[in-house]
Order: sequence, then structure tokens, then C-alpha cells
Amino acid sequence: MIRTAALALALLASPAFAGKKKSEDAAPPAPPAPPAAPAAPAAEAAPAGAPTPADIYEYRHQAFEALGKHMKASSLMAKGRAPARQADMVAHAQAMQGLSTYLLDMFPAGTGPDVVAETEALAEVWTDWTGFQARAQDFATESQALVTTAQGGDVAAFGAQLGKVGATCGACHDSYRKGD
Amino acid sequence: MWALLGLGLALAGDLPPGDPARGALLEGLAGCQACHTSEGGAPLAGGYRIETPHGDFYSPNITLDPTTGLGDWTERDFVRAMRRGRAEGQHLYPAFPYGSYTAMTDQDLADLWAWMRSVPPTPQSSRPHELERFRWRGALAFWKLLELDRGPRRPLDDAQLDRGRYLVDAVGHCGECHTPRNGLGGLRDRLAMAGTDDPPEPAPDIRPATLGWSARDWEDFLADGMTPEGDVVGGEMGRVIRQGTARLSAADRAAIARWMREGVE
Repeated sequence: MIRTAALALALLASPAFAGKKKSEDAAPPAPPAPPAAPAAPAAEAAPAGAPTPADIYEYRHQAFEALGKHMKASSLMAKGRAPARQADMVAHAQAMQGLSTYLLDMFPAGTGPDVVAETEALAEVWTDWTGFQARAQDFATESQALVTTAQGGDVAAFGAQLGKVGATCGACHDSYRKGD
Repeated sequence: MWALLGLGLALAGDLPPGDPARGALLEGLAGCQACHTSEGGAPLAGGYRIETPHGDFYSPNITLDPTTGLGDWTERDFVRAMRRGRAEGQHLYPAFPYGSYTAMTDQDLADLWAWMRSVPPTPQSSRPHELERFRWRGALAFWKLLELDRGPRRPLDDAQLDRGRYLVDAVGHCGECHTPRNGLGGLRDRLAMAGTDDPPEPAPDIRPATLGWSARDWEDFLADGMTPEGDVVGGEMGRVIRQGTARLSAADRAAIARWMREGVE
């Protein structure tokens, strides 16, 4: 219930999915939202141009791949294998922090493993939405701190904070990603 | 031959003096706490559930608590468990990976035992295993006959490769999750590190031809859990990194990297 509301809010707030209609079979009272559409499988019948669950998965997958690349690029700087210019550290940190602001929006109900076979997201993302939100919040907090650290320009501090960001990735993968 | 020699030495009960600090480093890679500590529980007090295709095991309390733990175990008892999978007159299930630990050196066993004795005793009973097969422990004697190759391995000429193999196969027991098993639960050596979909969670194929990682890719991953793609692993492997490989020396991580690239086919 809470999660439905949170999801709906997240969806409404998200430009990426503003056009996407959703409904939740488990929880009836729908917050102010576009007229209820049938659940995920019918997404193909959605208005032309609206993202299907497979589309949402594909975008989500690419966004996390990008996040990983920023992590890796940052770690090369932290290890002294790439020039650690302050502006570059900030750019990577901001990209990661930026993703944290819409991370939850990328997991609307109806895009789990029961609908999109390719996804590595476990059903627990949606059945334990509160827990998942908490992990996402940890990532938001630590990546925000990474931006601050990067602005300070100290490579060692940047590397240490990057480790904390990485720990939030791993902690979430622990419970919510297949095979972890 | 080497196996017999190693066994003969250790079963005589005369391990070299152990160093608990060294043992503490080893235990991270060996995973003693990882499997013998329940979530939020006291170290080594057991009760951790290990899912396998044969059912669920609950790890025993291996603190020195006199009633619920190892109590009056001697060093010799410890070595017997680690090298021969026997304890208190019973055959142990290989969910406790003595098939790997059997190859640990006398010195490392001594250090590990010294560390274990430094862990405070905690009274806490574990739960009985919930097995679908192999409920009769006597069958394990037969299993050992077929699957257990006791004692340290013959050293390789190349010291770094030898160290890498030792850390991977004996202490780290990587193959226990990453190598497919035969119908009896024995590791299929020819498919070493080829990955499995078995519980507790799928373990990927990490053979060099599949992975294509450089030495540095490996060393970075073992230090901080980040793959070359920037993925940060969680789950069981996340614990292996945090508690085990991240705490090893850079030289040991380099040895593991080399073995994974050159020793594994």
C-alpha cells in the first residue's frame, strides 16, 4: 500500500515515465493517477510510444551499466592509474549521484522477473519495497557525499568514499539481485 | 605419498606452534565465521543455514563452549576434522568442505586452531540438519573413499603458482561453489570453476577462457569486489571478498590471480 503510493508518486514525479500508466493488482486504492490500465502484460496495448516493461528493463539495464562504468573509471583515478583531476572526479561523482535521484523510478511494478525474463532484479524488490528503498537511500547518501569529497579534490579521500559507495551497491545486490 | 606424509605428521598431534593473528587472517578466506556465525549471532556459535541440493544444513557451534560447542577438543581433534572429516566418532558431511581443507599445511592448521581458541565460548545450540538425502552418516565413509583425497598436495615447481593453487583450492575452497558436482556430490575436477546453478546461489563460470580477465582485473576484484565492468558483487562472493581476499597481502592476491589465469583450464 505504502509502496504503491510511493511508486505512483515516483512515477508521477519522473519525467522518464510520466507517460507510463500503471496499475497494481495487489493494492486497490489507487492514488490520483491516470485511468487504470491493465497490468503489465497488456503494456503492448499501451498508447504508441509508451515504454513497455521490456523497454523499462532495457533502460534500467543500460543506466546501471553506465553507473558501473563511472564506478570503474573513478576507481582507476583512486588507484592512481588515471589523472585525478578535480573536475573529472566531480563529473563521475555527479553522474552517480544523479542516477540515485531516479533509481527507484526505474523499478515500476510490473517490470520484475515474472514479466521480464532477462531482468536480474529479484521479486523481493517489489515484495520488500521498503527495504529496497532503504538501500537506494544509502546509495543516494553515499554518492552525495562522494560529490562533496570530489569537490574537495583529495584523491585519497575520494577513493575512501568511493569504497563506501561500492559497499552500498554490494549491500543492495545481496538481497535484491539474482545470483548475488 | 605426500598425502600420507602430511597426514602422518599431523595425526601425530605435533603441529608447530600456532599464531592466532595469522589464523585470524586465514579464517577470513577459509570462511570459518562466514559459515559458523548466524546473522547477528556470536562469532562461531553456529546456526547458519547452508542450502544445498541435498537439503539444508545448520552449522554447529564451534566455539569452545563445553556443552554446545567443541568443549574439550584437542588440536588433534581439530586436525582430524579438517583433514579427514571425522569428529566425535562421526563422519562429517562435506558441506563442511574438508575435501578442500584437507590440503592445508600443518602451519596454517596450527594458526587457525590458535585463532579458534582465542574466540570466546558461546553457549548456543544449533538445529538439526534438514536433509532430503544422505541422512545416514555411515554412507559418508563410502563417499570419502571415492571423493576425498587426503592431505597436502605435491608442491608445484613455480612457487607463486603453488601459492595461488593453495589459496584457491585448499584454504579458499573456491571450487566448492564454482565447480560442478557429480551425482555423489564430488567435485568434477575436469570442470573446475565452470560454474553451477546450485543453491545457495548460482556461481558463475570463472574459467579464464570464459572470463578473459587480466591479472590486474583479478587483483582489483579480489581487493575491492569490483569487476572490470564496474559491477560490485554482493551475496556470498561479496562476503568472500570483504572477509577473505581483501584482507590478504597483495602478493597473495597476485598468486590467486595467476592461478586463476594459468592454473585453471
